[in-house]
Amino acid sequence: MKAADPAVLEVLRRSMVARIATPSRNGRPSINPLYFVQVNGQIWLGTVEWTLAARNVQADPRVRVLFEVERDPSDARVLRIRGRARVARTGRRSVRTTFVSHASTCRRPGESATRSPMSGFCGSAAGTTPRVRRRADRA
Amino acid sequence: MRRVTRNVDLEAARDLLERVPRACLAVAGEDGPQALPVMLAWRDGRYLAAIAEDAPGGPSAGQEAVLLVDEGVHFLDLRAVYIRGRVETVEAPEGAPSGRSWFELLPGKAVAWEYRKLREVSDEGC
Repeated sequence: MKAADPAVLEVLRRSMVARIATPSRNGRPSINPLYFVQVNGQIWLGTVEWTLAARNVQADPRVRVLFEVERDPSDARVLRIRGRARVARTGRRSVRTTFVSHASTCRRPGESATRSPMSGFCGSAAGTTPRVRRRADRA
Repeated sequence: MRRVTRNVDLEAARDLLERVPRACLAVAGEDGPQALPVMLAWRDGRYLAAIAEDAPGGPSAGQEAVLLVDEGVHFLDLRAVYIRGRVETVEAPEGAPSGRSWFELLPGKAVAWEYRKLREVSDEGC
């Protein structure tokens, strides 16, 4: 499935929170919810650079990201994207710059009360492998 | 030394485990991290998770995994439970739908987040 597939774009358009899985420097898995925006074929996830997600991406850029349509529980689609991300520092905290973004996987968690520079993840649409699956049912 | 935390007591997020608004599991794979939406049943304190039988990238017995249960779309509504542990294969719980592979996550570390509770704390208090 291509990143420009209408089904992919539809889920991305309706989703608000991305769940990004990253490996640590030692290969240990982690997954974090982050806000994202999609701009010009790229998905940007917002966070600050001291978070585990940001540190992991700096150590290993391979990511998997899940997107759901959170506001519509009846929509069981889950978009899963495989790709590579990079950390892009965007200056002082500012909600707008935090969500700098790219094409399939991005979001900003808290611009918390720190004064750390904001960072965003950027992954290019090229090289991503999106899949739309049905969400696992709830038990 | 002080720092900002979003962590809350796990008990304060117990409702997430009971309602399971969204749940996913991450494990390490040969070609990078895997992320899978899961069905979660929290039964008697046990974390039972299921994926579709044909889902690629599922966990292996004994593998380290992270379970994320979260909800909310607006910043101050975001809440989550994050559990790191090891998975073991188990039989499907009674009444569970067929066509799923079931795992139990044996927790090693569990953290709950609530962004509405962002606050500054001393390192000693974290």
